Amino acid sequence: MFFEAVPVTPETLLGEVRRLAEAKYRFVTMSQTVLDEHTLCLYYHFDENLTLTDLRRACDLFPQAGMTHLRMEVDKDRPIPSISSIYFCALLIENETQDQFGVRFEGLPLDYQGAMYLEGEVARGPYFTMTTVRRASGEALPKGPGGEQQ
Amino acid sequence: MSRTTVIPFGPQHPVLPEPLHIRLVVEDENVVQAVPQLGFVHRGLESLVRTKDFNQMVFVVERICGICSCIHANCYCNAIEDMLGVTAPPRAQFLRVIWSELHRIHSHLLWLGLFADAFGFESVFHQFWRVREHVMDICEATAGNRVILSINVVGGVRRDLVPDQIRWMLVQLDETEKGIRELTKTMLNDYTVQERTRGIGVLTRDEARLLGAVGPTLRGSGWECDERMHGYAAYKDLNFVPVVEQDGDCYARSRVRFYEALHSVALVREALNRLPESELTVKLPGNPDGESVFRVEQPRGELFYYVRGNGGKMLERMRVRTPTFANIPPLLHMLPGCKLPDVPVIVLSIDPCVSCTER
Repeated sequence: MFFEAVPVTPETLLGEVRRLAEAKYRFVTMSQTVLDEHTLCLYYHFDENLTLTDLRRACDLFPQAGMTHLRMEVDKDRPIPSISSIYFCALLIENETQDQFGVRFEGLPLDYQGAMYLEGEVARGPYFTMTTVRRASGEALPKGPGGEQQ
Repeated sequence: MSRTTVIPFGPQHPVLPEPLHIRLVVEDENVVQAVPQLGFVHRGLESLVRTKDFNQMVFVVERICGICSCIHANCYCNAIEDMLGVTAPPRAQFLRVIWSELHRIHSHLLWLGLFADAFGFESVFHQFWRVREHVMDICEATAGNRVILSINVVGGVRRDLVPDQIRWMLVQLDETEKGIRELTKTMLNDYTVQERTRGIGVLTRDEARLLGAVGPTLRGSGWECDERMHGYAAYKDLNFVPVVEQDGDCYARSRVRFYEALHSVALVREALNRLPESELTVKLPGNPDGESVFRVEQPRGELFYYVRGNGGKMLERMRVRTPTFANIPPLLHMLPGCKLPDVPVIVLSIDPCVSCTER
């Protein structure tokens, strides 16, 4: 189902997340999508209630209902405020985002410095820079200097 | 005077079927800190959305995790169907529930066996896996495979059940239920089991919510929270009630899984008896465009999919949040303060699936 997200900025993010935490929302996860070569879009997904009665009343049998989404566009070179001080459980997904997209979160209680999944020497976020090269069927791969396929 | 030592738990460890490393800082026998290290089997499956079309991706998401492959595909297909504005036909919705619940039963029985093995009860491990074979036989006979079933397609399902198969399945389900009930006394009432699991790895009700626990880990701490309550697929038409325990320890989590296995048998039986007549698939109106999220309940907890399409055959982005990924922060909270011999029991109590977590 299409969903609507509340737009936030790096300056307003923590205040909005704190408000949701005080209203006893559960942090579900974060999603990330690349908008252009400099901009990453982050979605923060929260669940409103945790009880059977409330879920059935609020959701009207749709799994997306009862959720709140925050949407934030960030420059990949600017540090992003971490919400782990409010929701400790966000630290893994924030570290994963660092690994995969090459961005940096400020204030992480446990910071793998972009090496949670990746080896330390990997310099680029693989999901930010990944491109797909399409070749016509049967076209040979270019040969390297030693004759090996690249 | 206590002595501080660092002990590596995993990535190769007898209780871990998959590689997960936890760096344990211990003072004598007491754990004071736990730091996880992931990435041993990361496959980058999410990035394949750019090279496989959205129909082919059903087969990819099934391979994120074998033991709940059908449920991954179910969630992915629902997310795409929402974007396309179509709904799978009623019979397909029931069939999705049947195969999903079969996965839940065999996943829980597998876990109950492994859990018993973790605290040294090898005969119970054998018994649970013997009972599990009835479910694996059903999967093989109805879908052609024991683990990766490949029954979901975007818009419905690709396989049907005929009356003879349904009658045979009902007999197998009776055998499964009988086998599980025979193990009740041993698994839930035995003195040794209770000594090794009661009061161990306690997660309070508030901690479970704040730390983002999902599935049996959350329900074992007193929360009535199960995505099936939302009524996706055919759950809205079935008598589903979440299994909840209050104590928040390893014993409570094992009770949740034990009774969920029994409840899933009842759900499959009910779905088989009420299977409606209809087509198995609907025609798709085009390619997905826009953004969509969908959540379903895996054996280990809430599974979350975010997908983004641009009107082409390939999706722009797919993001999967698996339940084990959500249950690692609660695990890191449970470990400090426990004794070193309890670490394997606590780690297994969240039913870790590293294959899911690393995708």
